[in-house]
Amino acid sequence: MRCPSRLAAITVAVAAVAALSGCSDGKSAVAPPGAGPGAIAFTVSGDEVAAAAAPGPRFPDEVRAKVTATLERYLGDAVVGPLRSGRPAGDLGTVFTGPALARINGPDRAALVDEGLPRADDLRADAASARLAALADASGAVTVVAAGVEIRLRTGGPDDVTIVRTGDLVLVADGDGWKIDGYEIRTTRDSAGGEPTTTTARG
Amino acid sequence: MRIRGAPVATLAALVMAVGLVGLRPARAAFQVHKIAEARFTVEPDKPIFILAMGNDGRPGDTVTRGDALHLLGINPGQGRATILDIPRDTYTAMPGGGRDKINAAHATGGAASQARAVGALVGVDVSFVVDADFQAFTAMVDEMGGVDVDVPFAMNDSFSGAFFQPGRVHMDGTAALAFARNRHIDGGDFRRTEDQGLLLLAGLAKLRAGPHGAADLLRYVSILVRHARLEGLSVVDVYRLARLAASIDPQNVRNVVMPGAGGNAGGASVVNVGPGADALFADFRDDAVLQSH
Repeated sequence: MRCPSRLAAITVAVAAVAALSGCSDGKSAVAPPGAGPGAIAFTVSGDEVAAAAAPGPRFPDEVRAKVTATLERYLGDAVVGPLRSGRPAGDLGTVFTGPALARINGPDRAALVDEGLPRADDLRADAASARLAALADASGAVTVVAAGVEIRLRTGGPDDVTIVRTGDLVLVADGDGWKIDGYEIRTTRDSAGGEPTTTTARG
Repeated sequence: MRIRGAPVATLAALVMAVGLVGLRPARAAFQVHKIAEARFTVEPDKPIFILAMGNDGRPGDTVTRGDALHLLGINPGQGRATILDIPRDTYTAMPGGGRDKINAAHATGGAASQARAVGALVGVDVSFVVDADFQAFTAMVDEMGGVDVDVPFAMNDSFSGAFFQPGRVHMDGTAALAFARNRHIDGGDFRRTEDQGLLLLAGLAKLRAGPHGAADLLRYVSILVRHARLEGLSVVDVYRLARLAASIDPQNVRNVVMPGAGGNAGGASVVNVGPGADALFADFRDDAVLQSH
């Protein structure tokens, strides 16, 4: 079932995420934090819950909202932000857990963060989607969420780099929110005048 | 007849347990313990140590011994691991004082005590213990559809029921148990414990071939948790462990047996730690990867 607020949500800030959380078995698309005109929307779907005790719970709306907010922060802070500014990403501590951040600040950075590319003034998204699945413990509380992501971007301009990022992001509850704790990601960057490069990370 | 020393649950390591899709009976098939004083980190080049243990428990037993002892050292950053196989009769210090066969630690203090004994012997902090008995071991292998084991040489042993030709053999739970128990071979207990390590590798290969993607792994973990008793750890911990195990290519895992020699202590047959063991332990404990062995 499609969420009726899908189109409207494209133009609103991330604060609207909570309002979209009722679309538990449908899709929602929201704009990343701070997005203005031309914002890149993340479409979120999926409601499967694997449970340690039957019957399993429904995918909680609150969890969906918080996970979506984190995915949006990832998209905004680690991908879109650096591409649009041409500068390194800022602190990603609000996106990744401590152990994951240690890996992101090490060998896995290239697969998950888009840095080192020329400033993209005409960044466009061909796809930005996440399909969620959750794990609930014996009490029925959802404790882990996996997001199968597909992000396809084009930077435009003379270099016109096409960036395709696919794989899984795994999120866990962290304080009052959710953070990315694990991932298996493959990223290909293909520019008009060069050979494509592919980086992968698993952690 | 009670069979002592059966290394039942070699396969009981988490790498194998995670493959339990479809487990039918709603009972705790095995236990996973988090050891209080150990840390759990999955960070580059910080190794994590897990004791995969099979105890000799039969239905109704209240006191059991850790008869299959395999210390898994995993280096997440390098994606490599080592299985250090510890002979069950290794004569060593006990957590409560004195010396005894290492498997006696399980009888006096359960899985945590067994972990401390193994950890003290090798010089590492064991973070988790996966503990299974005969029944759990056989059920696990069956429920995951059997395992493909590289049998190193012909076996023809009526005591254990191990009748295998060398080469890759598909084993159900009963066959895997027989393979793990057979000590009527060249090398005796030492060779047997190494064979148990081969079963662990077969389980890891099975896991690698199983779930495809994070959502699949969540389903595996949910089934695992339904049939495990978790002591001191959360479902998130189990998921992290499963993810860690699934990230390790069996080609990057070494399987080595602690050097030792037969001896006698108080009239009992024991295994004394061999002269090369200290160097092996030192090589193992810094990063869980063997550089000089």
